[in-house]
Amino acid sequence: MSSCEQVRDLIPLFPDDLEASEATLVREHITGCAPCAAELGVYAAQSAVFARAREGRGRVSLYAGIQAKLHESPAQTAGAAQIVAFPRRPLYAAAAAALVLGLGLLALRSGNNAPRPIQKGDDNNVALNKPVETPAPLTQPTQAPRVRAHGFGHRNFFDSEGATPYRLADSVELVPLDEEAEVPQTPSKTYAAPPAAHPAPKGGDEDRSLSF
Amino acid sequence: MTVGLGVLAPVAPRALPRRRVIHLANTPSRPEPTKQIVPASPPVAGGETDEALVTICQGARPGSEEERERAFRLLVERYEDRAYWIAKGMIGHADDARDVAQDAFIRVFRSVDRFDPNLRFYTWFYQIVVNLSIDHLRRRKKRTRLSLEDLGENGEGQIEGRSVSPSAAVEHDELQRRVARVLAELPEKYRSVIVLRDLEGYDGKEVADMSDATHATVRWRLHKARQMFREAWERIYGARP
Repeated sequence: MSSCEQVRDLIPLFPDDLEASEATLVREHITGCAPCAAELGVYAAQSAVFARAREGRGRVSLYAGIQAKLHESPAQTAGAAQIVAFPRRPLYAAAAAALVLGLGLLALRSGNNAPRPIQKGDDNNVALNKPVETPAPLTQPTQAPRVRAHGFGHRNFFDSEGATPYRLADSVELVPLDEEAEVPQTPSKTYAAPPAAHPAPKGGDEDRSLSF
Repeated sequence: MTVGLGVLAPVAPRALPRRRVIHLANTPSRPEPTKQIVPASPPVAGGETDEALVTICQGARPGSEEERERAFRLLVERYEDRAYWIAKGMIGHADDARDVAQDAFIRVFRSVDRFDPNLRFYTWFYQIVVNLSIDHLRRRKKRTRLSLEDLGENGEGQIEGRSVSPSAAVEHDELQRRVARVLAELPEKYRSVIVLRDLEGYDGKEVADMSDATHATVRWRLHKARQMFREAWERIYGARP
């Protein structure tokens, strides 16, 4: 036996707006429950009021008025026609989403996540953040040595002011000028410098070597 | 080629399951069950479906301006009654309802290109009527509060072909005035559900399409709206409906 509370929750929708099983539940319950049957009677009477209000309606003729309106203010109605029965809720949801997105972007820009130049120690790999070893100066260099870079690691290299970051190769090899011809070519592991900061010298080993 | 059909033995008509009838002996003065309301299906009295008429209005078919006007006029004649009564149920005032219904048709005429012919015309159109009615109510709420005499005023002089006797018409007008008075107490979203479902007779799914809501939402609103209507009626008139 279903409870009165359960059935009274269904009564306002009885019978056409209930599932078949729900309607059966109500029917079976009210055969033995006078208060619920009385409650059902109230809603049935209300339904009859709606039915009577629907009866005896006359016909309405709107076409002449529509034509008059169309002719009297075409510009006004044309402007108004831009608003058609758009669903209201999706528009509100879209506006709210745009607002949230905008606020999120503002927060990102003003927070610490703003993009900034690479700085020393930025790399996640701690092992690679050890100080960069600069090669020992050549004794009495008469001409800038040629440096051949092997491989490309993840070390950052800074200029003297510490402002411009560069990437340093895994290993460098100093090549005496007179032995340059004997150095084996390892094109797969060589590194080309960033073109804007250090344009490669023209001629010779122009695409694979750095000159300091 | 012949196909063996076997022996066609006479078959006794299958007995239909007996319908269970429950007599509500304890129900005081239970009214006669209301007739099932059949929603207006897309009428084809003019020989053309709504979609065909809309296509002509859209200019998708080659046709003259007169043909477009004829198609629009047919659409108006098919839906003007319903549009008016939906607006009247929402607004409660005859002249305002007439204005709103006319504006709805004008919007259809101006923006018929936006209609998707794969959808049903009347759900789209009634959605426009309901939205315009709500807009009108909000504007009116800002301006002034409608007097109680205005609610349910039926603009009898402008309505033709009433099929009831004068005394029945008076009684009917009084009932409509009462219904309008109670409906005015309901928030718009509940009012629109009562108007579309109970006064106009569209089923829950159609009301969902017209209200831009899910069927479950409409069912819940209908439950709530009927309770609110009953409470408002008892509060205003001191008796049950």
